[in-house]
Amino acid sequence: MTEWWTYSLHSFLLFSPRVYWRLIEHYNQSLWPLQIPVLLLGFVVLYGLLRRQPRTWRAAWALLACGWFFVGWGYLDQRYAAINWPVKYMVPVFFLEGLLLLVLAARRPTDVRPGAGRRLGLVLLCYALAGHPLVTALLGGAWSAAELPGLLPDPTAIATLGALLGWKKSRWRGVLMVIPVLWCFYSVLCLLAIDAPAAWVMLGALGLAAIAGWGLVWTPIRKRR
Amino acid sequence: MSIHRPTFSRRILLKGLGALALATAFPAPALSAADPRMRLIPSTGERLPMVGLGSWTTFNVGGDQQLLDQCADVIAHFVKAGGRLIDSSPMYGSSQDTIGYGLNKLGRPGAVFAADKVWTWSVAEGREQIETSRRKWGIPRFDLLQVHNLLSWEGHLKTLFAMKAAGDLRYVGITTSDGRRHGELAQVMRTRPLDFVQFTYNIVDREAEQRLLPLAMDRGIAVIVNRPFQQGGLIERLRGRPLPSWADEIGAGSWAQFILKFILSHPAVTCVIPATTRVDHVQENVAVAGSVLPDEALRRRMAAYVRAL
Repeated sequence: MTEWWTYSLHSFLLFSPRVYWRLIEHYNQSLWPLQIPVLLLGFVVLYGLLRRQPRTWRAAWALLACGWFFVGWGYLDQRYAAINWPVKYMVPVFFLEGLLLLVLAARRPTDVRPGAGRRLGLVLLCYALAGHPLVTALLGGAWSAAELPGLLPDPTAIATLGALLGWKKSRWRGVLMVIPVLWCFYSVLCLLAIDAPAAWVMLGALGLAAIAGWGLVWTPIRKRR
Repeated sequence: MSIHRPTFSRRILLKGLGALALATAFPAPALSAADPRMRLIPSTGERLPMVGLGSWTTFNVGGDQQLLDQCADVIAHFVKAGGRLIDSSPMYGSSQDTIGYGLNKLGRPGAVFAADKVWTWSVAEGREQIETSRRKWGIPRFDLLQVHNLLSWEGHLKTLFAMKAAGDLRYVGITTSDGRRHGELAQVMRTRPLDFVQFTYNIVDREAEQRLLPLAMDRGIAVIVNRPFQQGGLIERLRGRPLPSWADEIGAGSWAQFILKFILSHPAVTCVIPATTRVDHVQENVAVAGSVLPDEALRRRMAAYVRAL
């Protein structure tokens, strides 16, 4: 792309805010009342991570993996790609994240030490489960605009970041965070292009994840000194 | 205040005679040849209504039935008002499907001038993309195909000229937007036998007046103007500001009409393609072409007024 500096976010605008919010509302309406069990399963994930027993632990990560599969197929491929063509290239990426989470689900429970990282991870996970649906319903002006983890990509990515930051001690944690972080950035750009305030919410979640991530990296270094 | 109607060179007028022969081969325009709302396509002399319909962002509505019907309504009112040129691109999400839906609902009106683009890095995939676009529109062939944003333009132009020679396409063009790559575009205009060129031009983005518009006139290339309202941003900025008292003299009842009249009063401009989701807006846009256009002195006054706001 030549003269790339002359492009603004609005140069890449493909759809109007009205089309975007209507897409989410119609998607939610087509799934109703699936939102109720999905929300309950979200709390099962939280419970499984807090209990840290092998069976509940594995179930939690497997449920998160299912969320990535469902969002990749049900929302990105079947709905969102129709108005936002780059999204069709992200469908296999979502499936890859689901597969990686399944691999981790098969491994033994590991744990990060309780501390700031754990608390921020918990905050992110709780926000994805309860806060994000409320915020998006308020911004969208209808309950049908509420975005739930496991059904829509933004809260799924935030919930996964929270879970990984708070509970998964593994050299693979960084690898598993790449896709959720990239999605969050992409979503922020799309939301900014349509001047949606939800972009700032996503930026806040990313900022929180960055702080938690920095804490997890910095604390062991400081202790070694 | 003096008013002028656009004038054309003798060469273009002579080419217009050739249009009589073409009229038997191609669908006749909905409006009469003497209609002041029409402009000549220099390469053939065919006449085209000077207000077209863009589809960027506005027609990308996915499978939303209510919005699909709304867009179909816009297309219906555009055609009913005498509009012909509808422009789209494979880059515009579901816009091509929406146009196909709207045309199908209208019973496939023959007067529509179908303008689309080829937009892929791979020249080899160009034909396949064009065929996919054609199926989405649901038409036997495109009237105009343009290389979108000069992407792989050399290879795609070869494909398009070959299609034109084979009778699978009537006109060939190339596009850019927001003032990008004007130097390269000018070079293509000088060296290739283009029928159409498309770029951004409006009352505040006037770089095209320096080089592209005079070059198009000189080379006999029809000009399609995109983003007349800067994606709505220009109208948004002017909202709440008063139109000048003399806007009535040129029949501009709104900022949209004021801007469109400025664009269309440039003699090199063939067609402007505002995009909208609203029937009242499409009617307002098409109505611009039916009234008088400002002369050069008034154009300067219009630009100065907007600049001072």
